[in-house]
Amino acid sequence: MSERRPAPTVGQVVLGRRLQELREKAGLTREQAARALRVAGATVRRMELAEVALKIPYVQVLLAAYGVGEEEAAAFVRLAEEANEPGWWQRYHDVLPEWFSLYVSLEGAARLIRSYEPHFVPGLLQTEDYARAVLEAGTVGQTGPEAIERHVALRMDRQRLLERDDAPHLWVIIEETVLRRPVSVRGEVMRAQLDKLLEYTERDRVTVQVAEFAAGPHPGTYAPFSLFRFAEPELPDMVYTEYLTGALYLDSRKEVSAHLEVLDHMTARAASAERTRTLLRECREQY
Amino acid sequence: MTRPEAGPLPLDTSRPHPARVYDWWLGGKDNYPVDEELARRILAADETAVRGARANRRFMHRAVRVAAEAGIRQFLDIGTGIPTEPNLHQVAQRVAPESRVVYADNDPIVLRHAEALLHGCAEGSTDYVHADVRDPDTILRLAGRTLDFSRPVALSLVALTHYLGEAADGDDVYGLLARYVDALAPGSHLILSQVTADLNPQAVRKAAGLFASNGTPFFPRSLAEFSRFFTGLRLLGPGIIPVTGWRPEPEDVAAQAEGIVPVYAGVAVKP
Repeated sequence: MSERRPAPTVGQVVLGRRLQELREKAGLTREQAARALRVAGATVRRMELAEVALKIPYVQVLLAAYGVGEEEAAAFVRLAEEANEPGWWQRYHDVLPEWFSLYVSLEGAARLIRSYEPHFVPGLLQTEDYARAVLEAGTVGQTGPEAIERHVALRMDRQRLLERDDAPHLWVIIEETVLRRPVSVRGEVMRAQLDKLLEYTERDRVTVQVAEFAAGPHPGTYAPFSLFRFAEPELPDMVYTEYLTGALYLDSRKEVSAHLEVLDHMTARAASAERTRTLLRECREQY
Repeated sequence: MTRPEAGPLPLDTSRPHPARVYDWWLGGKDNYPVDEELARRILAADETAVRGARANRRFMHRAVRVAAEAGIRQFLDIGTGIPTEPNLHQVAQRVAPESRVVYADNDPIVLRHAEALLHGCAEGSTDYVHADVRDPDTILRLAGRTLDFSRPVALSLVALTHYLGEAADGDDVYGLLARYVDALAPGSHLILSQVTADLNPQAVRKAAGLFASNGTPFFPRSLAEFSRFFTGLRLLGPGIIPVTGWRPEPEDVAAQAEGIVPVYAGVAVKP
């Protein structure tokens, strides 16, 4: 295996896409763009796909070749410089799978995060004990207690996001299963977790809705996924979805839109935020 | 165990929805390909659609500000649509933080968006009513949980009445408006805007035809027809006027230079 390069930041991914859009708008092929840089077409491709960090001098030449105005070019370069800064989460590189680094980066850059969580309380809203219990149960044949503690620490670090002044709005739909299936034999783990969820539901920037058993099946019953929306209107929404050994990032209009539509159907059918608070209180009594 | 609120709601997102078409024109991302397709087709038929949507939003901001500055502290917005910053409660609460705002929409998805994303400041309050404009009894009853109808209310239907017909055995839009206005206390404001075919008839008729053939009947109205909505009320200056001309701010003056928008707007006070 070749030397491991840090995972791309969301800025790199999104700027790469933007660079591709600008090139296509200018009517240039990758080869034509590469000629301006005196490099191979593959280099432009790797920049667009965020396989390499954005080299600022290259970016400047390309933007000029694409006929991008001075002001927009300057803004682009500023973003590219920021995007190349490694994120705080990279100190967890020992336990952080590369595909998850991008998730943390997306989370930090988003203005709105809409998630569907069929199995567990979303990571951003977990208590430390709940996180530990889930990680202990959920990692088969993996690493020992030390790595689990590192994961717990990472998860707790991620939660600082919700304390920021510019915290994103987190809007999640969780299955009723999440409330009903204890993650630990210790009742206090679930009680404390439900208390924490209840606390979060009091915040303006957190919306939790429960998909109740009684409401029947809904169109989202596949895997957990999240949709990220960014403050910059020109950035497309992105969808993140996990499977056993990795994750997918989707950003085509068609795929993002399908996920948006499913989320909208689920949100209309799930319990309202107000009723969800009642359900949380009821479930808490059962532990 | 608490009983579920209601059975599954009928949801059809396979056809375009006016709120999401509007969202696309406003540059929003809460729309699906079917909505985008219709939005683009209408825009091709009537090149003012995007400017019209923006002009409507800005009119809502100005009219709500005028009402708030006149001392109104209660707002009822029917046909809220997909949240778009700044939203009505933000405009009202910027003038008077204690303002109480009720949003009403008949679409469960639109309403959940409002519930999740529209939160007022601590001094005021916001509530969400799931009901159709054609059902004034329900809207007024549910809005009454938050608003005191013995005191003035600003009632806004922005870019909504053109989805309602006139037939007495149908939507009966004039009868509906009268029902709402009847329920308001003296000093209440009525904020309205709607599409007209007076200004560029061909394009507007084409756009209306596109809406109609996609499941949303559409009724442009003439100046006289639009004026009827304000019967018995005292119109605030400058009266009924194309939307960008209603107490324009610099941005609206700039927008006027891009050409007329075929939408009438007006604000009136109940004597």
